[in-house]
Amino acid sequence: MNICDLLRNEIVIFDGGMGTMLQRAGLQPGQLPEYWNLSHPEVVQSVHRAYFEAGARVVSTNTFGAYRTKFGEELEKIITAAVMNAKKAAEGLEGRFVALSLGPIGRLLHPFGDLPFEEAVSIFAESVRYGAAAGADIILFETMNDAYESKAAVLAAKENCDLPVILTNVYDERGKLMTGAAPEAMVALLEGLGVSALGVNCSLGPHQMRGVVERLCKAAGVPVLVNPNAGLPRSENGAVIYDVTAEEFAAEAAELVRLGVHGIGGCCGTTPDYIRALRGAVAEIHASEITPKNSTLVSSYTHAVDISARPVLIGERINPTGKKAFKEALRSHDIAYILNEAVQQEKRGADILDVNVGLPGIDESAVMAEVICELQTVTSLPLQIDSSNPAVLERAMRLYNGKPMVNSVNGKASSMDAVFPLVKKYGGVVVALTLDESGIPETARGRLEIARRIMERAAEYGIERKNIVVDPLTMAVSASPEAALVTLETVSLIKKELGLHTSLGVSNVSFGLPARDDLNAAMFTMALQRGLSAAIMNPYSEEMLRAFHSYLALTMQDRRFERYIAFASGREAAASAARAEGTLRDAILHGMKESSAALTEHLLQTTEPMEIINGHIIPALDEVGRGFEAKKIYLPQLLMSAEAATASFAVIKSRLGSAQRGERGVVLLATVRGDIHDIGKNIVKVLLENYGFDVLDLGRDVPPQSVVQAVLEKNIRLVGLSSLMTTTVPAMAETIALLREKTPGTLVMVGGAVLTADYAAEIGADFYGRDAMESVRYAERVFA
Amino acid sequence: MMNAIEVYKTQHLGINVSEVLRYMGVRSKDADENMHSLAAEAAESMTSCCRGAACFLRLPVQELANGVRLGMIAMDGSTLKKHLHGCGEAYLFAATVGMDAERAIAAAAKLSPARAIALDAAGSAAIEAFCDDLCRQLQERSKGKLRARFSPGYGDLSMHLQGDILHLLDAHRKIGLSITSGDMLVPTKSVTAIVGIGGEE
Repeated sequence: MNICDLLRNEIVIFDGGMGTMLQRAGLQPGQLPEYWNLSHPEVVQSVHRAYFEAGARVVSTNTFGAYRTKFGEELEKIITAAVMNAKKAAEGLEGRFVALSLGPIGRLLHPFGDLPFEEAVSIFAESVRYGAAAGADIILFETMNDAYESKAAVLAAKENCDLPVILTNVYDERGKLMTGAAPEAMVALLEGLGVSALGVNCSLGPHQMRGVVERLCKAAGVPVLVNPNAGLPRSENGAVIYDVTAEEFAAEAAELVRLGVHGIGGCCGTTPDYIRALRGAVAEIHASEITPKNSTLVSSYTHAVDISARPVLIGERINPTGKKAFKEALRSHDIAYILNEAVQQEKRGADILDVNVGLPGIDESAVMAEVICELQTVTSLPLQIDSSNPAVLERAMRLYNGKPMVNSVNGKASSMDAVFPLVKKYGGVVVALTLDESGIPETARGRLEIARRIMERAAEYGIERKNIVVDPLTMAVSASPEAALVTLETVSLIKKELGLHTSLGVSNVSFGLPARDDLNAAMFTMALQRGLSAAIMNPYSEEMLRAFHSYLALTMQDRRFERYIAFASGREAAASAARAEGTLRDAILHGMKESSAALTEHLLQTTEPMEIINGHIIPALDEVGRGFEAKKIYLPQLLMSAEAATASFAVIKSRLGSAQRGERGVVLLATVRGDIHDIGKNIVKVLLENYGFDVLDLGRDVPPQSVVQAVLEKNIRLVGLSSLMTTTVPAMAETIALLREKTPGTLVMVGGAVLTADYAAEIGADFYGRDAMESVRYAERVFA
Repeated sequence: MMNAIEVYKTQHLGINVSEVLRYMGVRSKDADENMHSLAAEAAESMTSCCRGAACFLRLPVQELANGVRLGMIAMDGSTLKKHLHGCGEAYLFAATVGMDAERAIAAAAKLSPARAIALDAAGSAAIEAFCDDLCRQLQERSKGKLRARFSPGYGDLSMHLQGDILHLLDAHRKIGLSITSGDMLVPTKSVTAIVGIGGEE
């Protein structure tokens, strides 16, 4: 029997700790255990043999940290020897398996760390190839404490071998990964990527794992593997002792097996004695049946949203269609604008955010990849990747940290053949539009048949029906009066006859008619009543939200009316925060964002935009700026005023399409390579923008070549570089040197906590900004 | 002789609003109502998302010509050598307030620099409070009086040591703490330090 069948049908015993055993044999803390595969093969083999003899069916190779980042050229030799050591220990034994054990790389991935996703994939891939070539039976990723790194690992394994892939994560006392993911989010992500089993290991003893194990068994449709620690370590008389004995461990682990666990072994502190006791304790337990789970899950890096549990709202605002300001933001690479749209929609109660950045003249694939990554730094909502271009979908699905919703596939053969392989490979819930080569059927039956065909074709690709959500398409009633009825009927039919979930872009229904929100809300309620599972909608629409929250409250889907009450009180609070009282000048001076926006709206009724800018906003900003320079005002106050002014500018911009402030010049800003701290740079950015400069923000951890390339492409005169740490100042010096070589005319200003004027001069900067206002003043001189 | 790498965690980090204002660079008496509520709101949200986690190891201290040796790590630096003079042993620790705090600060940095400054200040107050708490815990289990904690970057002790310290403490695995190629700790609200135990000063 192969290991996958075995895990589905039986209780499979895995081995215990390797490090623990090697330390007993003399490995010192800080020494790399992987070298012992070469230097002490007999010790490693005897550990594996002891585990086999204790009853383990699977042993894990001594390769937990075996990556090229640590072992370089020696990696292949070490991994090959490690697999050989395990296979040698299995000689003469029947039905035993060798798992290539791989842990985290040890560096945090972009955007929070500086390890790019694709580099992580490539590091995992190299180790996987060596392990598979040496004859490992399973790829076992263990102790993974980050969802994103888990995704990189499984992708690398799937792309580089045909072996079964198992991944176990470390959960803490809260039942989350250190980077925040809940068990259900990991199940959604890992099953989407096609693991053969998943689970939990390390960190906790078997008893403390119970909660997580229960949740994993409840959510997972694949076998669950659990490798607990022998409790917590402590020092005693110069030795390391773990506080759970072999017998206690075995008894508690047997409880986990009764919860539905199929693979069980040990991690830190466990030895062959623990595995022997474990084997005895589970000998009489029958493996529970693993049932398919039907929840339709999409996930982010923190949580899963279950579309089958209650209807969900999918925010539609990140989409340039019909939005002047959004198009402008995309063209000028104003990512902050898009991030703000995300945060606002989340505040309004969206469960999932649709992301569409298709616009002629921009590189959709690159922008989509960037926006997907950036959005995941400001919101933990799952995303719906929305593009008509399969290449754009693929790049975004690959880089997305979680299991995305994918918008969309349709009944055309070409669409299904392009999109289904991506859903199969990366995981996802795909929105299926009921149209095909002959267009959109006029009848509900016709649309139902397309949905059925899509479902059947998806099954051929190995995509489960729970991962398809059908969009039966809303058409304008002004064009064809029966359109709403047909759509509603289709929602019912798809639910009844196919058992699939549905999603609608509700607002199309009112196209061409007045008071559209009223019609949309009514349509939404009617569709919910027919069993609609998701709506792509505008979360700023009061009417739509009212319909949604009322529906949940009235249908026992908001049991203590918590959502409804929160919605009602949120509306009152928002109304009082945005009072248009006092003067715009005062609102800016006191840093009141909502009031500044409201007062600007108010002023626009009577005053020309340029007059508001030059007569109200700029004088207030100047007053704050001078106060700061005179040390009468602190930096946070200056920033609050700047943000209030930004809110005013945004209102004016939404009226004009652009603020038309007269072009003062473009300043490029970047935090240098290796430096991930960008508050300082962002402060300078906000102030420069307030003073009418356009800022090209390259972000943080930016390599020198990228700065030079952008300067050349955009013909930049002034570059601002930021660096927080002494250890990253050399990267700043390197960036300046490269700029001097390739773009001799460019001026460079620098700033950051550890810099001084002398140091700045030494590394060749033109100007040192002690604070953000000095950078603004310098920019004013440069572009005067 | 081998000691265990132990882990200490706590959810309860008292973040003091006046400390937050201090890290924001604002004197308490100068803080107006706006500034106060900014700092208080930051203290509150960081209290809910900071979770202190530390791993530590007790090691013998061996004096070298220009520095000390702690376990596998030789540390060059006369200030540390002087600081640890007379200590037979020291604790080596790595501590962090976690990724949730990191995410909160990073999100604010993109959306509202004023709030980012306040959250960053609250994060600094939180990691300092956590290190103080950890050192009290370490003091309770030690006979000798603990000295002030000493971190890479103090005096002439190189920041590059942080990578070796994280490796020795298995800090990525135990508390999710790692380092960038520029020797920055991530999450950024983290500390590595050496704490001398007892001995004649």
